[in-house]
Amino acid sequence: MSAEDIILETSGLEKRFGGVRAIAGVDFKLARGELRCLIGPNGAGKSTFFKMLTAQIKPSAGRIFFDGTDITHAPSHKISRLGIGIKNQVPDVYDGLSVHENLWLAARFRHNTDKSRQAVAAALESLELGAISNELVGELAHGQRQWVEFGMIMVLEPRIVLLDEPTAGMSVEETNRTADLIREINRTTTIIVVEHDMQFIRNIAKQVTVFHQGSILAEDTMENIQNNQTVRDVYLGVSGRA
Amino acid sequence: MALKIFALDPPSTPPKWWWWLFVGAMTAALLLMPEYLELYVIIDLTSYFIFALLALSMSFLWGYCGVLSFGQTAFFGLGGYGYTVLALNTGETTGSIFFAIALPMIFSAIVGYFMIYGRISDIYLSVITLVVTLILEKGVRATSGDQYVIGSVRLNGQNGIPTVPALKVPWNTAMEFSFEGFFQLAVVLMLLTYVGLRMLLLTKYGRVLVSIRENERRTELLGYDARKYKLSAFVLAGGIAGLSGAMFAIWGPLAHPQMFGLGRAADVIIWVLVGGKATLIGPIAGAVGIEYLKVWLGTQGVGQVPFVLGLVLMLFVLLFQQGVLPSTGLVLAYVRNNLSARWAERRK
Repeated sequence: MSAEDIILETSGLEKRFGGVRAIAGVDFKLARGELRCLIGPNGAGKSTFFKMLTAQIKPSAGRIFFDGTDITHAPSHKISRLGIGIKNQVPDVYDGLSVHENLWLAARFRHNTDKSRQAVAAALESLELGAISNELVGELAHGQRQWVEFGMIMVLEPRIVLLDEPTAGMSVEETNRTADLIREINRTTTIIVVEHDMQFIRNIAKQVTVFHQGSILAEDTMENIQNNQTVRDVYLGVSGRA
Repeated sequence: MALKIFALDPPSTPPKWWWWLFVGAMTAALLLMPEYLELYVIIDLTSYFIFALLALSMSFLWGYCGVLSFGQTAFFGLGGYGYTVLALNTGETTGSIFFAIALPMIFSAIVGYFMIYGRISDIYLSVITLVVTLILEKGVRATSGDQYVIGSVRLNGQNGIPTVPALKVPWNTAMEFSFEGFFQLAVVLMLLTYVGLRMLLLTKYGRVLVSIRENERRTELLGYDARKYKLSAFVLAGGIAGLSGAMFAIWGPLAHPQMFGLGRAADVIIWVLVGGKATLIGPIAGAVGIEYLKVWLGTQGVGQVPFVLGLVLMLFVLLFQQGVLPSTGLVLAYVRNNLSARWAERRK
């Protein structure tokens, strides 16, 4: 891929917690328009990596570039202004405010009053939340709260969306709906998804990056990753090899 | 259920026609009070409405932005002393009122900048503001010597400054406000602040403030610079507290170190908690109600006023956590729903 196709890049990214190197010098490249899944066993460092990409923790060494801009030390609010939409694992919404107000706060940051109104209406429509737009988000079901957050990210019209385990705690039906949503967002936007649920990854993934012990172990299409012996060893343990 | 309570003064919905009617009727009724009430009642009520202004500054900051400043009295006291010192030096009272608003705003901008931009957590912010007001109290108390002079005004330490100039009518500086006129001024300032804050909460700025109360990190992830919003709210609340302090000093007429004191700081919390911090009208009712209760208890010879106030606070914290007005609203809504359900039943 040529340089101007790269939207996100890390070089030598490292995070130490005391003596532990949670992320040990990761070089990562992401092309515009990709839908990339980050997977790995527990403790592989994918969540730490995610948190550094989203400026929620500061790297110990290395740099992060977003569309050519160095965002290694950018504060949280700058990250969003650059066009990076973030969804953490736990629904991060305004529980005491209505669905409409949640979406409006996101929309109003990006647009003027009129366009905000349109963007909120469009999001309510596409997420099928119109009927409950006046309900408090804290009183909704878990899946609905997740979608409210999806909506907040969509109305921000980000250039890249980072999702940390978007289907955690969802029913099969909700998971499928979320997969549809992610594919829809991907039509216009680059996406990174951190996931555990292999079924879900098979459902959406094109390119997959496998983390292991703080480094990238493999990077390939889902099909090849599934047939990769090293990846299987990592997930099942070497002794699990039949 | 508990969350629904925020619907009482819902920040993002424009007030209904009956709210304007309520405010209009309230204004008229309060402004006419001097015609019908004894002078000593009017003078007492004046202080309650001045306190209501202080309560508003606290509920705006705490109830809507989620920042608990334990030391709103720091700005209250600075307003009082600021007005007194400048008015005594210059003889100009209207200008001194504006100075009494500006001085606490500058002070709160400096203190607030270090706390908010330093990312100090909310609980430490409460502690620091409390300490700031106590330091100011001790500091002012220590100014009894005649070397502590600003311009031609001695600060007088423990005794305070009893010669606070009465407010002159801005368009006719030969005339001072009468007791009735000063009462009406306090009413107007309180209602203007109430309506102004209510309107402010309708704007994008106000709605973002509320979102910070709900989830500051989310607001930052959306791209808003929460620090800017919090600091400006802190400064605005400081200005309102300063205005309240200047009015209180004129009312006294006394600028006293107690204005900064722990007792006063606790009063503000009690007014706002009892009235309902997530509303604007509640803390007004809280300030007026609690201050009335205090005076009434005093005349009944109970003697242990702080003890009774403590009991009231505990009762509210345990039983009516949302404050008296939201709780009443909940009861009313419950009764209404029940009645309408019963009505529907009967019609079947």
